[in-house]
Amino acid sequence: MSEFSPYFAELYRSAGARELGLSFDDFAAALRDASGRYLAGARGREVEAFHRGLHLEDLALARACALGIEPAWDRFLARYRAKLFEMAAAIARDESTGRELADSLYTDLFGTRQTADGRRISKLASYTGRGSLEGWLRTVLAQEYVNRYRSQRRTAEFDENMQPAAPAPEEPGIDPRLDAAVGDALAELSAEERLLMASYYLDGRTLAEIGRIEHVHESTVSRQIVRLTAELRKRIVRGLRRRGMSARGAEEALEADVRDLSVDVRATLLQERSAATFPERGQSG
Amino acid sequence: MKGNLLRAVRSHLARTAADVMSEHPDANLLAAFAEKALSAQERTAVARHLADCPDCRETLALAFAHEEEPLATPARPARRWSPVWSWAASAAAVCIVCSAVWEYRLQRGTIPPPPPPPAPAVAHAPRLAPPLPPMTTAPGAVAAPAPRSFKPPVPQPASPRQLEAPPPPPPLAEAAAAPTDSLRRVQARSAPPPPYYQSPGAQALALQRPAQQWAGQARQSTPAPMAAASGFTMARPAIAGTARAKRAPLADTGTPGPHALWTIASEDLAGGRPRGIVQRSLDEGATWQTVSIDDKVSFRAIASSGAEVWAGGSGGALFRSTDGGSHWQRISFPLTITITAITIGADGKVYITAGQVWMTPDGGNGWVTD
Repeated sequence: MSEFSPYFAELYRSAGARELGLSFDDFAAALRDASGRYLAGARGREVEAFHRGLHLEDLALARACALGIEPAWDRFLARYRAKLFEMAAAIARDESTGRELADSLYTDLFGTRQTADGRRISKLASYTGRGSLEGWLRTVLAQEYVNRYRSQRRTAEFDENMQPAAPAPEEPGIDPRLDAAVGDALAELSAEERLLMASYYLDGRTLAEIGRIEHVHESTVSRQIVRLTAELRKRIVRGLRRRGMSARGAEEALEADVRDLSVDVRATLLQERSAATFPERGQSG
Repeated sequence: MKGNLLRAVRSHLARTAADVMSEHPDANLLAAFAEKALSAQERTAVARHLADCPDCRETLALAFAHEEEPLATPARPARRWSPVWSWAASAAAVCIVCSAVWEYRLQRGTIPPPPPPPAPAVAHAPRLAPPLPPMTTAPGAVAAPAPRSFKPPVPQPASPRQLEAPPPPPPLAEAAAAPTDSLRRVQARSAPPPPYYQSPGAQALALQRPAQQWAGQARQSTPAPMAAASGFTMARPAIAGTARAKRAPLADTGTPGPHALWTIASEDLAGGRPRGIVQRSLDEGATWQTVSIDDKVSFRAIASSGAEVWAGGSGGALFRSTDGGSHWQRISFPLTITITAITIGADGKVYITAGQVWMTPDGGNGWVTD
């Protein structure tokens, strides 16, 4: 225990790890795994603050389950069994598919493969406590759903669409001034703003859905989108004028475009999605 | 110009999508992003990836953008019945109770039977049975919840699956004391079993199908994970015991019947004690024959899939036939308490309920419990 930081014992107690049957060494290993994954090379206060910011109780529970400790499994099932099915059914939007999804994940959580020394490999071992365990389970379920069911559906669609497609009509070239102005305007947005615009205009998420993801009210999302849309429009006009277009010409170029962006770009994204195969994620969770 | 602008945006989107880094943020980071638990630097990095990666946006939206509905069926608001209907319902209830008591006493011999006597129950089992009591081959068949409805209208499965463990079935004596023969009978189809279990509604529908469908071939079924097959979902697949099947055939019960119907009926022993017996119909329910397996066992559950039949009952007695009931072999079951339900999964696994759910993937050689 001498190699561990003094606050580890405090975190061990506050996480209730002992009650779960998780040893101090295993708990400390979970902490070091988490910081080693996200704070490579960091030391001292930064690491301590990171550790204290983890969902320690969830981390202890997940690690204890991954190690096959029975009381931990009892607690996990009591806390998440029904929740897991709720989440899976909501994600799959079909109860039977959701059940299969939850069963599949549960198998992974329990761990069907074994290491050379006979220890089960549980997916719960990859939980690091950055978010809540429930949030992690939601995300893993969603990843599993996207990877499995959507790729299956796309394979079926691909099989159905094996007919050779007619060559697309050649489109006239894009005005390089407009192309550059749009590129500049999009690049000036922050990452979160671009995420918001993409979610709304490209993915077709509703204000309520975006609000739930962002943990804000949908009216806030609405205000943000109105502001960003107006800002984007201004920036594109400015960019067009910088490139020698008259004010009237720039306005005419944009007339109704921002309003129609939602429809046309969504269709564009759908075309792109149907053309591309969804990549399998390499991460374990 | 409008088309030009849109093509320009499309072009930029394609470029940014192509620039998405190959490594997606893991589930920890995505969950922490949604819960605003990341540092500013990490949040920006994840948001940058999300803005350019439609797949990760989709994952995040699936995980966090929906609203879950409670699994439990919400209680209906109380309805106010008019006084007329209330009185009518009360009178109907009294009539039902009286007729049930009358028939019960009639069957017990305290009231002389009216002429002409009814035909033997075994020989004339009803084809169309009313909803069955919970002493059934499928443990999940009791109190199945109504199917959930989600916002987008999607087709619901024919038999909604149960998420919680069902209440224990009533004791055999209770079922035996039920007033009519159809209520004493537990049906089992010879067709392949449902993927998880059959709800009462689904079972009643199956019983009302035409004869051709009774003996129908395998239905489309989905794989049955161990835990869900018996209503005890999310059970841990911990190995709890191993048993070896005894291979000596016990009894020859006649003609094999891959499409036979199976049921548990009740007969009274000396002293009025009821005993569950196995019966089989080879003519789609027109007539029933008692199948002698073990006279010392009171059977409570039976299930079949093609020529494979499993029957279980008191004392943890468990029997298996692989030839449609012609020959039976006793299977060693880890417990010695009454087996109350048997389900044969679509994947060939057999689920036995005896207080807890046990599963054997290999015909009774090994057992796994939750």
